[in-house]
Amino acid sequence: MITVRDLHKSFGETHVLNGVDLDVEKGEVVVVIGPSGSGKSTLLRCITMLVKPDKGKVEVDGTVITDPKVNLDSVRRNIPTVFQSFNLFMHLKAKDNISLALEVVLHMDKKEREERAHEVLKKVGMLDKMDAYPGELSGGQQQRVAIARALALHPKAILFDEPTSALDPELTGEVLGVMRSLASDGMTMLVVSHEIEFAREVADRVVFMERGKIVEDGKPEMMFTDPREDRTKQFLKRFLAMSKR
Amino acid sequence: MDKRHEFVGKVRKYQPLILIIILVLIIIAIIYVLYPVLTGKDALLVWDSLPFLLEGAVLTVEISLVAIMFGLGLGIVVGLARVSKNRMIYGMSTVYIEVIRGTPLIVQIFIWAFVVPQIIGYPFPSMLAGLIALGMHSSAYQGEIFRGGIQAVPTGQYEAARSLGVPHLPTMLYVILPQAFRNALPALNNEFIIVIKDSSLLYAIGVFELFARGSNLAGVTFLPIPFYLGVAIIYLTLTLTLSRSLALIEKKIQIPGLGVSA
Repeated sequence: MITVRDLHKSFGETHVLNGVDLDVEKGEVVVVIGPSGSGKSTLLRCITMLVKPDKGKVEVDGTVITDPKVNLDSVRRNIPTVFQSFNLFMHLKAKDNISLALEVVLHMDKKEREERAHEVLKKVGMLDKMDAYPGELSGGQQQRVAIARALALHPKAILFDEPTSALDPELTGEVLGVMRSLASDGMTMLVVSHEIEFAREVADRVVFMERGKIVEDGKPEMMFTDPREDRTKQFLKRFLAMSKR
Repeated sequence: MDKRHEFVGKVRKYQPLILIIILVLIIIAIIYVLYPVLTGKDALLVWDSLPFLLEGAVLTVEISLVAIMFGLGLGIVVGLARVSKNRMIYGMSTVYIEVIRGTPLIVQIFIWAFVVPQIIGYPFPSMLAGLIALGMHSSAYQGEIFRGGIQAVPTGQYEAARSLGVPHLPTMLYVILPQAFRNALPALNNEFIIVIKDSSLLYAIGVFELFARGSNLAGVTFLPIPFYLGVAIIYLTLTLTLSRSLALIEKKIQIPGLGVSA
């Protein structure tokens, strides 16, 4: 579904991505972990071309999105991103947040848009808040609407960029719950996250990134109990100690 | 709801009333000033010329509205150009703003009224020259107001739309501009008031608007007190009406759950 080959990106002198190779198969849930500044978010942003990579190739469902001739918008709608800061359109109600792209991108008529908005808001348990503005919702509720907004496009995959990092611990649960149910529906998901518990339970594969490179890539049970690489061990040791505190 | 909120709420509820009271006080003060003049035999003269003044006020409103609209349309374009990634478009809009902001409005009015007609060898009415000068002048300021409004919209809004496959133009149109416009409204309100007041400068090229008429009457009748003060009151009424209506609109289109309720 998503193929990344030898991806490089620098911001000035800083090499954020140093040759990343990654494959996400259809129906797979891949969780990317790693310390801050390891290039996880930049990787996601390069996959959707929100940031143009310096070198390398990204292929999404058979289309090489890094090819300058490709119409980015027609690829992006198949792999929408859910952001850390939700980024709901603040001037639009929850349902209108969802129908905007349906109208502009998919050219659906009003009735179809409403049906689709209903369908996805129900899926994330936010049907009763469809007329609320983002500013009237809690962070967890906003993120669920953001997931519904991505889902409404009936995408081939959804990218999650630290979807729970801006939430209080008590609100992360409702968002992770929605993500769990998406995973069980067979949605292809590429998730950057610090939620080790979620990765352990839901991920088909866990990828450990450090200094712009993928250090280790494997099944969660193996990654969390018996990682091969020393750097992965160190990170997990530090990280788990920290999250226990 | 605590005490402070209750108080603020009450002030808000009675705001129009308070405003009217202030206005009445101003008018009473002015009439007091006018009283000695009006009680003399000049009173009739002043009263009789009121329709003449009000006609000027109508013209001032028309000039201001056209200039504001012209400035608004051009201002949105200039504002968009100022956030453009295209160096050429950005550069041109920057030069436009700097030139217009950096020269006095009265000079621009004279350039449009006398310099441009001579260069193109085709005279046009001083009214048109005045409208162009006023509208362009305002467009530079409104352009900067819109730039500020656009840049105050978090980049995440743009990225979110683009990540859903929404192209650049619809993203600007449906996501960025509606929010930018709300951000810009308080500053726009200010700018619109300035346009109303600046329209008085057109008297210098012979447009017979409110100030020109007042000034004319004052000169002919040797009665500066009622006419200049009268003109001031009429301007104040126009600007207050505009700013109050815009404040209402501001409140009406405010996004629920965002910012302090004004």
